[in-house]
Amino acid sequence: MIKVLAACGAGVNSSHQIKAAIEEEMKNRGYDVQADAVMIKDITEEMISKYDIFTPISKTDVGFDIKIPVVEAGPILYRIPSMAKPVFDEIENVIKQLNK
Amino acid sequence: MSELNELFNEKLIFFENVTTQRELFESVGSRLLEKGLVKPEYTNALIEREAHFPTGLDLSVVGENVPNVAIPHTETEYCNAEQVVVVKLENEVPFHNMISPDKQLNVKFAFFILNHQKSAQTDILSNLMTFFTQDDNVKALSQLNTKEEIYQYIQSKTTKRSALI
Repeated sequence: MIKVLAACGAGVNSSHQIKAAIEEEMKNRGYDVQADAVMIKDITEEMISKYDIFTPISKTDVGFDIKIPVVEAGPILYRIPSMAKPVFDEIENVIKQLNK
Repeated sequence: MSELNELFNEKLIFFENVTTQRELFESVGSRLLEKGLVKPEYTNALIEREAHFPTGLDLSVVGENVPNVAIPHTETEYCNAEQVVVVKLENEVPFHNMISPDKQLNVKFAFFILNHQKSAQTDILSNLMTFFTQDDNVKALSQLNTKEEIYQYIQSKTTKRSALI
């Protein structure tokens, strides 16, 4: 199973939508993905070490070096397929490279 | 969980004549506090959060001449209700872009998302996004002049068809 950490400023609206969209799309593409949604300010090195991919709403400074692949997921929020596809494709590429 | 159309209220549609984001947040924040919909710290939380995590949405990707919107919101602890407050700005107000925070855009409508239950609101934003990106809805809204018209338009576009039959 691939674990994804979605994040936004308040940890309520955007990150939950990113989480739900990634889980649904990756399931449709045949991957077993489980995502969580958090507030950016709550992220710690220890927390992020438990995940395979980090998908913040936008370019994000969490105050330390992130050692897992990062895919900026904001365009998913528009729910416009042509905007979401490049993000999903990038996540799928990362999943393939994880080789899990 | 409430359907999107149930989150709007004609009394929670405001026209604001302001020039800055701060004025907008202070004005809307005090209206919402008066109605008991938010906690006293709401306005400061809104200002603080918007500075670090902006909420402007560039709708030029939806179509030509579609006005931009913003979706200001705070963490759940500052809200007492689940509502969407619609604010039409007489003059567009600059916001930073939610998905590219270094970019700025001018916003014609602010949809304040109030949410006091951390678990329940996953769908509000996605349903709002569907509204923003379909049927030239935002362009249509900008051509309406009364709160009643705006409320009726939003209801007509967000009420599930099955519920109308």
